[in-house]
Amino acid sequence: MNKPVLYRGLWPQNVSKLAKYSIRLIEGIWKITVLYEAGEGLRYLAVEGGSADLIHRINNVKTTLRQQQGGAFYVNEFRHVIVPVSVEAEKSVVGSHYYFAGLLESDLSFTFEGVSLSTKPIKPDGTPLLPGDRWVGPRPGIPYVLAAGGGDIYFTTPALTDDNPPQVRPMMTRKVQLSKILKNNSDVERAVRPVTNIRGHLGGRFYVNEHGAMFTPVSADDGNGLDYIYCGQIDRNAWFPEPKVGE
Amino acid sequence: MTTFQFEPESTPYPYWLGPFSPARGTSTGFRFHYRKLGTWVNAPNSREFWVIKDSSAVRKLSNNILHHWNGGRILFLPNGLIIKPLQDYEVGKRVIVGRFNGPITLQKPNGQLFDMSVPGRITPGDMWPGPNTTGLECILKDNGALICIWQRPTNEGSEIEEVVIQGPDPQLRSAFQRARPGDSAGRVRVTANGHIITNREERGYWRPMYIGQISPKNWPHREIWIQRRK
Repeated sequence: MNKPVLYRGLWPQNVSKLAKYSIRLIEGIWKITVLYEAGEGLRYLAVEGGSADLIHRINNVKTTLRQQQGGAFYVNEFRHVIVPVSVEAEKSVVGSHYYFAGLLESDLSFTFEGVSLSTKPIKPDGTPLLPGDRWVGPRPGIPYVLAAGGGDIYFTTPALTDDNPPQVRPMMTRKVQLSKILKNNSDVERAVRPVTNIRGHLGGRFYVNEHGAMFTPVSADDGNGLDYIYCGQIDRNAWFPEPKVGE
Repeated sequence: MTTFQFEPESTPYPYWLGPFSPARGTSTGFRFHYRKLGTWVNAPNSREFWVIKDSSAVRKLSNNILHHWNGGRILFLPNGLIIKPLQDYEVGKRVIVGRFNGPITLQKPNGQLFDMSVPGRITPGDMWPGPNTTGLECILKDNGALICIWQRPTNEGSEIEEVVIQGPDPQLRSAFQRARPGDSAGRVRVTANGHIITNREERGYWRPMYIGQISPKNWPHREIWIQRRK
Protein backbone atom coordinates (compact mmCIF):
# COMPACT_ATOMS: atom_id res chain seq x y z
CA MET A 1 0.00 0.00 0.00
CA ASN A 2 1.14 3.57 -0.70
CA LYS A 3 2.17 5.59 2.30
CA PRO A 4 -0.95 7.20 3.80
CA VAL A 5 -1.32 10.92 3.17
CA LEU A 6 -2.40 13.46 5.76
CA TYR A 7 -5.94 14.62 5.18
CA ARG A 8 -6.12 18.24 4.01
CA GLY A 9 -9.61 18.92 5.38
CA LEU A 10 -11.08 19.22 8.84
CA TRP A 11 -9.58 16.99 11.54
CA PRO A 12 -12.34 16.31 14.09
CA GLN A 13 -9.98 16.17 17.12
CA ASN A 14 -11.85 16.59 20.42
CA VAL A 15 -15.31 15.19 19.94
CA SER A 16 -17.64 13.03 21.99
CA LYS A 17 -16.96 9.31 21.86
CA LEU A 18 -20.39 8.95 20.26
CA ALA A 19 -19.26 11.13 17.34
CA LYS A 20 -16.96 8.55 15.78
CA TYR A 21 -17.12 5.14 14.23
CA SER A 22 -14.69 2.50 15.32
CA ILE A 23 -13.36 -0.80 14.16
CA ARG A 24 -13.42 -3.47 16.83
CA LEU A 25 -12.61 -7.11 16.95
CA ILE A 26 -15.85 -8.96 17.66
CA GLU A 27 -15.61 -12.73 18.08
CA GLY A 28 -12.38 -12.72 16.13
CA ILE A 29 -13.70 -10.65 13.21
CA TRP A 30 -13.00 -6.94 12.56
CA LYS A 31 -16.28 -5.05 12.44
CA ILE A 32 -17.34 -1.46 12.02
CA THR A 33 -19.15 -0.36 15.14
CA VAL A 34 -20.74 2.73 16.54
CA LEU A 35 -21.36 3.66 20.14
CA TYR A 36 -25.06 4.24 20.63
CA GLU A 37 -26.94 5.79 23.52
CA ALA A 38 -29.46 3.10 24.32
CA GLY A 39 -31.82 3.94 27.16
CA GLU A 40 -29.72 4.19 30.30
CA GLY A 41 -26.41 3.13 28.84
CA LEU A 42 -24.10 3.03 25.87
CA ARG A 43 -23.77 0.07 23.55
CA TYR A 44 -21.57 -0.75 20.63
CA LEU A 45 -23.61 -1.67 17.59
CA ALA A 46 -22.03 -3.51 14.69
CA VAL A 47 -22.65 -2.43 11.13
CA GLU A 48 -24.96 -4.47 8.95
CA GLY A 49 -23.71 -5.99 5.77
CA GLY A 50 -20.36 -6.17 4.09
CA SER A 51 -17.70 -3.59 4.83
CA ALA A 52 -14.59 -5.71 4.50
CA ASP A 53 -12.93 -3.38 2.00
CA LEU A 54 -13.47 -0.33 4.19
CA ILE A 55 -12.10 -2.16 7.24
CA HIS A 56 -9.13 -3.29 5.19
CA ARG A 57 -8.36 0.27 4.02
CA ILE A 58 -8.58 1.69 7.55
CA ASN A 59 -6.47 -1.05 9.08
CA ASN A 60 -3.94 -0.63 6.28
CA VAL A 61 -3.48 3.03 7.23
CA LYS A 62 -2.81 1.97 10.79
CA THR A 63 -0.43 -0.87 10.03
CA THR A 64 1.49 1.14 7.42
CA LEU A 65 2.09 3.72 10.12
CA ARG A 66 3.07 0.98 12.59
CA GLN A 67 -0.02 1.31 14.71
CA GLN A 68 -2.33 -1.36 16.02
CA GLN A 69 -5.26 -2.20 13.82
CA GLY A 70 -8.75 -1.12 14.80
CA GLY A 71 -9.85 2.04 16.54
CA ALA A 72 -11.70 5.20 15.60
CA PHE A 73 -12.43 6.64 12.20
CA TYR A 74 -14.66 9.36 10.80
CA VAL A 75 -16.69 9.93 7.68
CA ASN A 76 -17.42 13.48 6.63
CA GLU A 77 -20.03 15.08 4.39
CA PHE A 78 -17.87 14.39 1.33
CA ARG A 79 -17.88 10.71 2.35
CA HIS A 80 -14.15 10.93 2.92
CA VAL A 81 -13.00 8.29 5.40
CA ILE A 82 -10.55 9.84 7.86
CA VAL A 83 -8.40 7.81 10.19
CA PRO A 84 -6.71 9.32 13.28
CA VAL A 85 -3.32 7.92 14.09
CA SER A 86 -1.79 8.85 17.41
CA VAL A 87 1.60 10.52 17.37
CA GLU A 88 4.17 10.81 20.08
CA ALA A 89 3.61 13.96 22.09
CA GLU A 90 7.10 15.29 21.46
CA LYS A 91 6.62 15.15 17.70
CA SER A 92 3.53 17.28 17.65
CA VAL A 93 1.23 19.16 19.96
CA VAL A 94 -1.59 17.51 18.06
CA GLY A 95 -2.54 14.22 19.71
CA SER A 96 -3.32 12.45 16.44
CA HIS A 97 -2.67 12.97 12.77
CA TYR A 98 -5.56 12.29 10.42
CA TYR A 99 -5.11 10.30 7.21
CA PHE A 100 -7.33 9.80 4.20
CA ALA A 101 -8.55 6.23 3.66
CA GLY A 102 -10.67 6.59 0.54
CA LEU A 103 -14.37 7.11 0.14
CA LEU A 104 -17.30 5.57 1.92
CA GLU A 105 -18.93 3.67 -0.91
CA SER A 106 -21.99 2.16 0.74
CA ASP A 107 -24.09 3.48 3.60
CA LEU A 108 -23.61 2.16 7.11
CA SER A 109 -26.66 0.88 8.95
CA PHE A 110 -27.11 -0.81 12.29
CA THR A 111 -29.74 -2.78 14.12
CA PHE A 112 -30.76 -2.17 17.70
CA GLU A 113 -33.34 -4.41 19.36
CA GLY A 114 -34.63 -5.53 16.00
CA VAL A 115 -35.02 -1.99 14.66
CA SER A 116 -32.85 -0.75 11.82
CA LEU A 117 -30.94 2.43 12.67
CA SER A 118 -29.46 4.70 10.08
CA THR A 119 -27.36 7.83 10.08
CA LYS A 120 -29.78 9.23 7.51
CA PRO A 121 -32.26 11.78 8.87
CA ILE A 122 -35.10 9.31 9.22
CA LYS A 123 -37.08 7.91 12.13
CA PRO A 124 -37.02 4.18 12.93
CA ASP A 125 -40.37 3.84 11.11
CA GLY A 126 -38.77 5.25 7.96
CA THR A 127 -40.49 8.63 7.97
CA PRO A 128 -38.20 11.63 7.47
CA LEU A 129 -36.98 13.72 10.36
CA LEU A 130 -37.95 17.36 10.24
CA PRO A 131 -35.72 20.18 11.44
CA GLY A 132 -36.27 20.56 15.17
CA ASP A 133 -36.94 16.83 15.69
CA ARG A 134 -34.78 14.86 18.11
CA TRP A 135 -31.96 13.06 16.32
CA VAL A 136 -32.58 9.36 16.94
CA GLY A 137 -29.83 7.60 15.04
CA PRO A 138 -26.16 7.09 15.80
CA ARG A 139 -24.27 10.35 16.05
CA PRO A 140 -20.92 10.08 14.27
CA GLY A 141 -20.20 13.41 12.64
CA ILE A 142 -17.73 16.14 12.00
CA PRO A 143 -17.77 19.16 14.33
CA TYR A 144 -18.42 22.65 13.00
CA VAL A 145 -19.11 25.83 14.93
CA LEU A 146 -21.92 28.29 14.44
CA ALA A 147 -20.18 31.56 15.29
CA ALA A 148 -21.49 33.72 18.12
CA GLY A 149 -24.08 36.02 16.58
CA GLY A 150 -25.22 33.23 14.28
CA GLY A 151 -23.84 34.88 11.16
CA ASP A 152 -21.12 32.46 10.17
CA ILE A 153 -19.94 28.87 10.35
CA TYR A 154 -16.31 27.96 10.91
CA PHE A 155 -14.00 25.16 11.78
CA THR A 156 -10.50 25.00 13.15
CA THR A 157 -7.98 22.32 12.28
CA PRO A 158 -4.21 21.92 12.44
CA ALA A 159 -2.52 23.74 9.57
CA LEU A 160 -0.65 21.72 6.96
CA THR A 161 2.01 22.75 4.48
CA ASP A 162 1.19 23.09 0.77
CA ASP A 163 3.75 20.39 -0.03
CA ASN A 164 2.81 17.11 -1.62
CA PRO A 165 2.46 15.12 0.58
CA PRO A 166 1.61 17.74 3.17
CA GLN A 167 3.22 18.02 6.57
CA VAL A 168 1.85 19.38 9.83
CA ARG A 169 2.89 22.96 10.53
CA PRO A 170 3.83 22.80 14.21
CA MET A 171 1.89 25.00 16.63
CA MET A 172 -0.28 26.36 13.82
CA THR A 173 -4.05 26.17 13.53
CA ARG A 174 -6.09 26.99 10.49
CA LYS A 175 -9.46 28.66 11.00
CA VAL A 176 -11.75 28.47 8.00
CA GLN A 177 -14.82 30.69 7.89
CA LEU A 178 -17.68 30.01 5.52
CA SER A 179 -18.20 33.75 5.06
CA LYS A 180 -14.67 34.06 3.67
CA ILE A 181 -15.19 31.09 1.34
CA LEU A 182 -18.60 32.02 -0.06
CA LYS A 183 -18.22 35.80 -0.01
CA ASN A 184 -21.89 36.17 -1.00
CA ASN A 185 -23.90 37.12 2.10
CA SER A 186 -27.10 35.46 0.93
CA ASP A 187 -25.27 32.15 0.47
CA VAL A 188 -23.87 32.42 3.98
CA GLU A 189 -27.30 33.26 5.33
CA ARG A 190 -28.74 30.19 3.56
CA ALA A 191 -26.05 27.99 5.12
CA VAL A 192 -26.37 29.23 8.68
CA ARG A 193 -30.16 29.52 8.88
CA PRO A 194 -30.95 25.83 9.65
CA VAL A 195 -28.49 25.85 12.54
CA THR A 196 -29.40 29.31 13.80
CA ASN A 197 -33.06 28.23 13.86
CA ILE A 198 -32.12 25.65 16.50
CA ARG A 199 -29.15 27.19 18.31
CA GLY A 200 -30.16 30.82 18.16
CA HIS A 201 -27.64 33.61 18.03
CA LEU A 202 -25.42 32.32 20.81
CA GLY A 203 -23.88 29.92 18.32
CA GLY A 204 -22.14 26.71 19.28
CA ARG A 205 -21.05 23.35 18.00
CA PHE A 206 -22.98 21.18 15.57
CA TYR A 207 -22.15 18.05 13.64
CA VAL A 208 -22.44 17.11 9.99
CA ASN A 209 -22.51 13.46 9.00
CA GLU A 210 -21.87 11.50 5.82
CA HIS A 211 -25.39 12.24 4.54
CA GLY A 212 -24.94 15.98 5.01
CA ALA A 213 -27.31 15.90 7.97
CA MET A 214 -26.70 18.54 10.63
CA PHE A 215 -27.52 17.94 14.27
CA THR A 216 -26.64 19.84 17.38
CA PRO A 217 -26.63 19.23 21.13
CA VAL A 218 -29.03 21.21 23.29
CA SER A 219 -30.03 20.89 26.93
CA ALA A 220 -32.53 18.10 27.32
CA ASP A 221 -36.15 19.02 28.00
CA ASP A 222 -36.05 17.24 31.35
CA GLY A 223 -32.91 19.12 32.38
CA ASN A 224 -30.77 16.00 32.36
CA GLY A 225 -27.89 15.93 29.90
CA LEU A 226 -28.15 16.75 26.23
CA ASP A 227 -30.54 16.03 23.42
CA TYR A 228 -29.37 16.14 19.82
CA ILE A 229 -31.65 18.01 17.49
CA TYR A 230 -31.78 17.66 13.72
CA CYS A 231 -31.17 21.03 12.05
CA GLY A 232 -31.58 20.07 8.40
CA GLN A 233 -29.31 19.23 5.49
CA ILE A 234 -26.28 21.19 4.38
CA ASP A 235 -26.77 23.07 1.13
CA ARG A 236 -23.90 21.81 -1.00
CA ASN A 237 -24.01 25.00 -3.06
CA ALA A 238 -23.45 27.04 0.08
CA TRP A 239 -20.87 25.05 1.94
CA PHE A 240 -17.13 24.51 2.37
CA PRO A 241 -15.34 23.11 -0.67
CA GLU A 242 -14.43 19.45 -0.83
CA PRO A 243 -10.82 19.05 0.35
CA LYS A 244 -8.32 17.88 -2.22
CA VAL A 245 -7.43 14.22 -1.76
CA GLY A 246 -4.94 11.96 -3.47
CA GLU A 247 -1.71 12.93 -5.15
CA MET B 1 21.98 51.02 28.13
CA THR B 2 20.43 53.94 29.97
CA THR B 3 18.64 55.85 27.25
CA PHE B 4 15.96 54.90 24.77
CA GLN B 5 17.33 54.37 21.28
CA PHE B 6 15.45 53.84 18.04
CA GLU B 7 16.67 52.47 14.73
CA PRO B 8 14.08 52.64 11.94
CA GLU B 9 13.58 49.69 9.61
CA SER B 10 14.07 50.46 5.94
CA THR B 11 10.95 50.93 3.87
CA PRO B 12 8.82 49.29 2.70
CA TYR B 13 8.52 48.03 6.22
CA PRO B 14 8.67 44.23 6.37
CA TYR B 15 5.53 42.38 7.37
CA TRP B 16 5.60 40.88 10.82
CA LEU B 17 4.06 37.41 11.12
CA GLY B 18 5.27 36.73 14.65
CA PRO B 19 3.70 37.19 18.07
CA PHE B 20 1.20 40.02 18.12
CA SER B 21 -1.52 39.98 20.73
CA PRO B 22 -1.91 43.40 22.32
CA ALA B 23 -4.82 44.22 24.58
CA ARG B 24 -8.07 44.84 22.73
CA GLY B 25 -9.81 48.19 22.90
CA THR B 26 -9.44 51.69 21.60
CA SER B 27 -7.54 53.11 24.55
CA THR B 28 -5.12 50.28 25.30
CA GLY B 29 -1.43 49.84 24.63
CA PHE B 30 0.95 52.45 23.29
CA ARG B 31 -0.79 54.87 20.93
CA PHE B 32 -0.87 58.48 19.86
CA HIS B 33 -2.90 61.14 21.58
CA TYR B 34 -2.61 64.68 20.22
CA ARG B 35 0.44 63.47 18.27
CA LYS B 36 2.21 62.36 21.44
CA LEU B 37 3.18 58.72 21.91
CA GLY B 38 2.14 57.26 25.26
CA THR B 39 -0.43 55.12 26.99
CA TRP B 40 -3.65 55.58 28.90
CA VAL B 41 -3.47 54.59 32.53
CA ASN B 42 -6.61 53.90 34.48
CA ALA B 43 -6.79 54.89 38.09
CA PRO B 44 -9.82 54.16 40.31
CA ASN B 45 -11.35 57.58 39.71
CA SER B 46 -9.51 58.96 36.73
CA ARG B 47 -7.74 58.23 33.48
CA GLU B 48 -4.41 59.76 32.55
CA PHE B 49 -2.28 59.74 29.42
CA TRP B 50 1.36 59.03 30.23
CA VAL B 51 3.65 60.07 27.38
CA ILE B 52 6.97 58.48 26.55
CA LYS B 53 9.57 60.93 27.87
CA ASP B 54 10.72 63.20 25.07
CA SER B 55 14.07 62.54 23.44
CA SER B 56 15.46 62.67 19.92
CA ALA B 57 14.89 58.89 19.56
CA VAL B 58 11.27 59.16 20.69
CA ARG B 59 10.70 62.07 18.28
CA LYS B 60 12.27 60.05 15.46
CA LEU B 61 9.99 57.09 16.18
CA SER B 62 6.91 59.30 16.53
CA ASN B 63 7.65 61.20 13.33
CA ASN B 64 8.02 57.94 11.43
CA ILE B 65 4.65 56.66 12.61
CA LEU B 66 2.90 60.01 12.14
CA HIS B 67 4.36 60.40 8.67
CA HIS B 68 3.14 57.00 7.47
CA TRP B 69 -0.09 56.51 9.42
CA ASN B 70 -0.83 59.74 11.20
CA GLY B 71 -0.94 57.90 14.52
CA GLY B 72 -2.54 54.69 15.76
CA ARG B 73 -1.09 52.09 18.07
CA ILE B 74 2.26 50.35 18.28
CA LEU B 75 3.62 47.40 20.21
CA PHE B 76 7.09 47.24 21.73
CA LEU B 77 8.27 43.65 21.96
CA PRO B 78 10.80 42.81 24.67
CA ASN B 79 13.27 41.65 21.99
CA GLY B 80 13.44 45.20 20.67
CA LEU B 81 11.08 45.02 17.69
CA ILE B 82 8.50 47.77 17.26
CA ILE B 83 5.36 46.53 15.53
CA LYS B 84 2.64 48.59 13.87
CA PRO B 85 -0.72 47.02 13.00
CA LEU B 86 -1.98 48.18 9.62
CA GLN B 87 -5.39 49.60 8.89
CA ASP B 88 -7.97 49.87 6.13
CA TYR B 89 -7.44 47.36 3.33
CA GLU B 90 -4.51 45.76 5.16
CA VAL B 91 -6.27 45.31 8.46
CA GLY B 92 -4.92 42.29 10.31
CA LYS B 93 -1.42 42.72 8.87
CA ARG B 94 1.48 44.14 10.85
CA VAL B 95 4.83 45.64 9.97
CA ILE B 96 8.14 46.14 11.76
CA VAL B 97 8.81 49.87 11.90
CA GLY B 98 12.12 49.56 13.68
CA ARG B 99 14.00 48.40 16.71
CA PHE B 100 14.43 49.97 20.11
CA ASN B 101 16.97 49.54 22.81
CA GLY B 102 17.04 50.78 26.37
CA PRO B 103 14.38 51.72 28.88
CA ILE B 104 11.03 53.22 28.03
CA THR B 105 10.43 56.04 30.46
CA LEU B 106 6.95 57.45 30.85
CA GLN B 107 6.10 60.91 32.03
CA LYS B 108 2.92 61.37 34.01
CA PRO B 109 0.77 64.52 33.70
CA ASN B 110 2.24 65.74 37.01
CA GLY B 111 5.76 65.46 35.61
CA GLN B 112 6.75 62.34 37.56
CA LEU B 113 8.67 59.69 35.64
CA PHE B 114 8.10 55.96 35.49
CA ASP B 115 10.87 53.77 34.09
CA MET B 116 9.40 50.60 32.59
CA SER B 117 12.73 48.80 32.90
CA VAL B 118 13.16 49.62 36.60
CA PRO B 119 9.65 49.96 37.97
CA GLY B 120 10.72 50.61 41.56
CA ARG B 121 11.04 48.41 44.62
CA ILE B 122 8.45 45.81 43.79
CA THR B 123 8.55 42.08 44.20
CA PRO B 124 6.48 39.44 42.42
CA GLY B 125 2.96 39.49 43.74
CA ASP B 126 3.00 43.26 44.42
CA MET B 127 0.83 45.77 42.67
CA TRP B 128 2.32 47.05 39.38
CA PRO B 129 2.70 50.80 39.54
CA GLY B 130 2.83 51.30 35.78
CA PRO B 131 0.41 51.19 32.86
CA ASN B 132 -1.76 48.10 32.80
CA THR B 133 -2.67 47.68 29.12
CA THR B 134 0.66 47.74 27.31
CA GLY B 135 2.59 44.67 26.21
CA LEU B 136 2.10 41.36 24.52
CA GLU B 137 -0.77 39.32 25.86
CA CYS B 138 0.29 35.79 26.80
CA ILE B 139 -0.98 32.88 28.83
CA LEU B 140 0.89 31.73 31.89
CA LYS B 141 0.19 28.01 32.19
CA ASP B 142 -0.09 26.17 35.47
CA ASN B 143 3.52 24.99 35.16
CA GLY B 144 4.76 28.56 34.77
CA ALA B 145 5.34 28.30 31.01
CA LEU B 146 4.61 31.43 29.02
CA ILE B 147 2.63 30.88 25.80
CA CYS B 148 1.58 33.40 23.18
CA ILE B 149 -1.24 32.75 20.70
CA TRP B 150 -2.02 35.14 17.88
CA GLN B 151 -3.87 35.23 14.57
CA ARG B 152 -3.12 36.32 11.04
CA PRO B 153 -5.83 36.80 8.44
CA THR B 154 -5.89 34.49 5.42
CA ASN B 155 -8.14 34.31 2.37
CA GLU B 156 -10.22 31.56 4.01
CA GLY B 157 -10.23 32.90 7.57
CA SER B 158 -7.11 32.99 9.68
CA GLU B 159 -4.05 31.17 10.86
CA ILE B 160 -3.67 30.84 14.60
CA GLU B 161 -0.10 30.36 15.75
CA GLU B 162 1.16 29.45 19.17
CA VAL B 163 4.67 29.80 20.52
CA VAL B 164 6.27 28.97 23.83
CA ILE B 165 7.87 32.24 24.89
CA GLN B 166 9.52 30.54 27.85
CA GLY B 167 9.28 27.01 29.21
CA PRO B 168 8.06 25.95 32.66
CA ASP B 169 9.23 28.34 35.37
CA PRO B 170 8.34 27.58 39.01
CA GLN B 171 9.17 31.14 40.07
CA LEU B 172 6.73 32.65 37.61
CA ARG B 173 4.13 30.10 38.64
CA SER B 174 4.40 30.92 42.33
CA ALA B 175 4.49 34.67 41.62
CA PHE B 176 1.30 34.35 39.59
CA GLN B 177 -0.37 32.47 42.42
CA ARG B 178 0.69 35.19 44.87
CA ALA B 179 -0.71 37.86 42.56
CA ARG B 180 -3.93 35.98 41.90
CA PRO B 181 -4.62 33.63 44.82
CA GLY B 182 -6.92 30.84 43.70
CA ASP B 183 -5.85 30.96 40.05
CA SER B 184 -3.21 28.58 38.76
CA ALA B 185 -3.06 29.90 35.20
CA GLY B 186 -4.26 32.93 33.32
CA ARG B 187 -3.68 35.88 31.06
CA VAL B 188 -0.59 38.00 31.54
CA ARG B 189 1.12 40.81 29.62
CA VAL B 190 4.81 41.00 28.84
CA THR B 191 5.67 44.69 28.80
CA ALA B 192 8.24 46.43 26.61
CA ASN B 193 11.21 46.02 28.94
CA GLY B 194 10.33 42.42 29.81
CA HIS B 195 8.36 42.83 33.02
CA ILE B 196 5.33 40.56 33.26
CA ILE B 197 2.07 41.71 34.77
CA THR B 198 -1.44 40.34 35.24
CA ASN B 199 -4.75 41.81 36.26
CA ARG B 200 -6.52 40.83 39.45
CA GLU B 201 -10.17 41.66 39.89
CA GLU B 202 -10.93 43.50 43.09
CA ARG B 203 -14.47 44.71 43.66
CA GLY B 204 -15.15 45.15 39.96
CA TYR B 205 -11.86 46.89 39.23
CA TRP B 206 -8.93 45.26 37.44
CA ARG B 207 -5.77 45.88 39.40
CA PRO B 208 -2.40 45.28 37.68
CA MET B 209 -0.09 42.95 39.60
CA TYR B 210 3.59 42.28 39.07
CA ILE B 211 4.70 38.73 38.25
CA GLY B 212 8.36 38.86 37.23
CA GLN B 213 10.61 39.49 34.27
CA ILE B 214 11.75 37.71 31.15
CA SER B 215 15.17 38.29 29.67
CA PRO B 216 15.11 39.57 26.06
CA LYS B 217 17.77 37.04 25.16
CA ASN B 218 15.30 34.23 25.93
CA TRP B 219 12.75 35.71 23.55
CA PRO B 220 11.91 33.33 20.70
CA HIS B 221 12.57 34.51 17.19
CA ARG B 222 12.09 32.90 13.79
CA GLU B 223 13.25 34.47 10.57
CA ILE B 224 10.07 33.24 8.83
CA TRP B 225 8.16 35.72 10.98
CA ILE B 226 9.78 38.55 9.01
CA GLN B 227 8.48 38.90 5.46
CA ARG B 228 10.60 41.35 3.51
CA ARG B 229 9.00 43.37 0.72
CA LYS B 230 10.61 44.75 -2.41
